Amino acid sequence: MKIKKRKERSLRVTLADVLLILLALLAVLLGGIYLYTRQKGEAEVELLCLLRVPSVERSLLEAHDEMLIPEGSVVRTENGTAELGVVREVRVLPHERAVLRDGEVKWLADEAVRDLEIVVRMRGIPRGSDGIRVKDLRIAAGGQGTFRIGNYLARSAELLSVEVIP
Amino acid sequence: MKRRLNGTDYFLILLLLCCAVGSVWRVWDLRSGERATDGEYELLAEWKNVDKRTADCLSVGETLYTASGERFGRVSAVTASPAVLTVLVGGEIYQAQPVESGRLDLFVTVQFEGGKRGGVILHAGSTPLAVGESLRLYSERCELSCKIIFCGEQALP
Repeated sequence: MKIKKRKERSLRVTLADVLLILLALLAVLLGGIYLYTRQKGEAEVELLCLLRVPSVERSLLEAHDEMLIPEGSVVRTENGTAELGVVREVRVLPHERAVLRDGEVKWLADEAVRDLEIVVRMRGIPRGSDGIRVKDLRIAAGGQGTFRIGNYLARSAELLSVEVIP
Repeated sequence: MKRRLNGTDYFLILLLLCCAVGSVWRVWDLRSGERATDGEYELLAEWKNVDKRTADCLSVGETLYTASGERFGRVSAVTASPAVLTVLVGGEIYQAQPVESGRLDLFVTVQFEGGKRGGVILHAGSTPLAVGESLRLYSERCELSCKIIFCGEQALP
């Protein structure tokens, strides 16, 4: 009876595999060094950003004695992982809606909701064609986003202005 | 120790080489302006319903970039008018331009390097631009979401 010899599959690491692993590690290392030195060499600037949070329920504001977002609150990204800045000032403004009165379009305040205008101080890095970056997030007036401001989740907040403090 | 390369090794080497070539190509492409362009073109874009303070962040002479950081062009003029407001009541459309809203419609003229092939204007000799097209451009402090309303050798005919 012929016994078939089972062919063993070799899982041995060859020299080429080692070279490839070393090459990949070197690429990661060089990339890391490049990013680290780039960040180190970039000068930070102070920014004053104006955020507008539209249509915040008035009842919510009253429940917190108009202190829903106190000064000094930390502004974070939506998932809360990156700290973007600190609240310097909060203004509570009436929310106006366009309505039709006697055949004319007029602005009337909606008493159920308020708009918040929040001045936030941030530290950013100007990167030329990549704009001003705060924790790698482009900060530009006209943009929209969801931010975690203190304990409040500000959805569809509009970035009204960005001012670089000299 | 065997030193023979197998198929997987060749595939991985090829993948690494492709990554390296792709990265170098992209960087070179972004930095070099060597493309088929035949002169300066202008476009007029409308950026609607902008807060006055946002509009103040954009100035004439600024360079505009795309989201990928590629240079798009230069702002050569900005004009503003009170934002046109549309209200729909009972199926009828009413429009107004309330000054007190503090919202503006901005008309931004952008000069860019381009070319014309078969009647189509190409930005930087490669990307076709057309009236009605939406653009997202960035200046140093602004994010413009605008729509092209004219594109040609001169923005305002």
